[in-house]
Amino acid sequence: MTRGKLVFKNLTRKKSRFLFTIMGISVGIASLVTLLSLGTGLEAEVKKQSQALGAELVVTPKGWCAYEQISVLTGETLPEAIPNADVEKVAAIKGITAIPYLVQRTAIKNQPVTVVGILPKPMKQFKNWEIDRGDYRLDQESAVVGSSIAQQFELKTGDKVTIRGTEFKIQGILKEMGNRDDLVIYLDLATAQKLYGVGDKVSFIAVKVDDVTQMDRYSQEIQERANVAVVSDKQLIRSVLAIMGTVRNTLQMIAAVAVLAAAFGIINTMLTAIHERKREIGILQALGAKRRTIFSLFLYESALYGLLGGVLGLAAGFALSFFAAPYIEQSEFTAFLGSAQSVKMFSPAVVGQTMLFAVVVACLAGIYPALKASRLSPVEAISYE
Amino acid sequence: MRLSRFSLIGLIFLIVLSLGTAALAFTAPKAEGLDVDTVYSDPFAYKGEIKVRGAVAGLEPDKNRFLVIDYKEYVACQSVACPAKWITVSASGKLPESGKMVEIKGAIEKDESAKGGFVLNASEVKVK
Repeated sequence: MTRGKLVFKNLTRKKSRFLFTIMGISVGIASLVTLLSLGTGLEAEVKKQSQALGAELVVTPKGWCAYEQISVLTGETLPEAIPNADVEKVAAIKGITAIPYLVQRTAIKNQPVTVVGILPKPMKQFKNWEIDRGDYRLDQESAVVGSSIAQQFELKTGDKVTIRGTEFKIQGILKEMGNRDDLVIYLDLATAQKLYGVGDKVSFIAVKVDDVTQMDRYSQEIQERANVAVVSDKQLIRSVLAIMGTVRNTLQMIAAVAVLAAAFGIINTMLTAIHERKREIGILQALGAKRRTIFSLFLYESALYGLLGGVLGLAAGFALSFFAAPYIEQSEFTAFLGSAQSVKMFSPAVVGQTMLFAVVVACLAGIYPALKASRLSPVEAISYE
Repeated sequence: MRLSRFSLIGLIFLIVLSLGTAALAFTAPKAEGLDVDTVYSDPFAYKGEIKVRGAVAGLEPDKNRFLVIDYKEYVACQSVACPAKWITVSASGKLPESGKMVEIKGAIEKDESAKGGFVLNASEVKVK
């Protein structure tokens, strides 16, 4: 019998004990995988939304809190506090392109939809939008919609949407961008400002710079010219990830404790197995098996627990992530998701890290029992009844 | 050796319990419904009964009304003082305490005396 076969036979000798030990490690690993995969997916989503914004700097009103900064990426309604005069001052700075946004909401069939007031021409150039159907025309009576909104509410060009009691004709539908732009109704900025009664104010300004090495200089100049605050895209990502990170680290600690508890389960199972197989160990020693061989046999058994538990835990964890995803949009920390389906749940990095973690923990848990088995005296072991 | 029936039932129970607990821990939302800021932007776009979630920011007991602010904003800022937008809720019965999370079922109605020119006429108020 080969060493592998012997290990597997010993492991499955007591089927119920084998299954319960595997379950212990699987549950711990499953919770870890769920958190890791959702966390990785959310992080990727934050970066994607930031890239979709297409700006190196974001000009916000002074005194915005972290929630409002995050809302730039989420598309939530934002307070309108930057007057057009400040937009013009920022836009006048040489070497930058300034695009104002007025972010509001409406509803279609009682479902909330984001409405963004924009300067049509500069925005189209800034975002490299292409029209899928109809024309790109935004005025007092016309709107352009993202592809997902059109699909979700079965909207066609020529259809009408009512926003704050005013009807707008859908003049065009944008080509799919694969980001938040697909989920928005776009109005001409002046029309949106009048419709929502916000005077001449906008929510924030997205700024693209010609020379990224001069970001600090641009940032300083913007703040000198207008009464606004400036945050870079990287700072924006950092503040979102910092909020997410605090929550995620705490949950991962809890999951790690679950895996640790499972490791004690492995130690317990292995010690029981050694006690039951003392005579067998003695026979192996009498046949010439070295201490090293006996040590490795028990260590392999332990590692196999980790490997099988890891595989089962991965499957359960990814399944759990899939079912949890539709609910995480409701969390204030994860509201930046475009949709539940946009959470990237499967990641080779998560698979690798988790499997390595499961096997290493199981091996560590197996060292003490394996040492105990290898140190049994042949006489004591063989004479055990 | 075959698994005993007891072990099998125990095993299934453990799996369901573990995964169920984990799922609940990760997904249970504190309050559900439309957000205050979302509804405030275009209140009359919502027809019939809607469910709104928010934090109670003030009471008007003489009018049997209370004010709710945005749930996400309240959670992030931990204060009922900062938001500039709120919804006035008209309710019958005991009003919820200030600072409590609530889920309100009701319909939007015109009322020029309230902020934004509307109230949410509540048919049910659930304190979370």
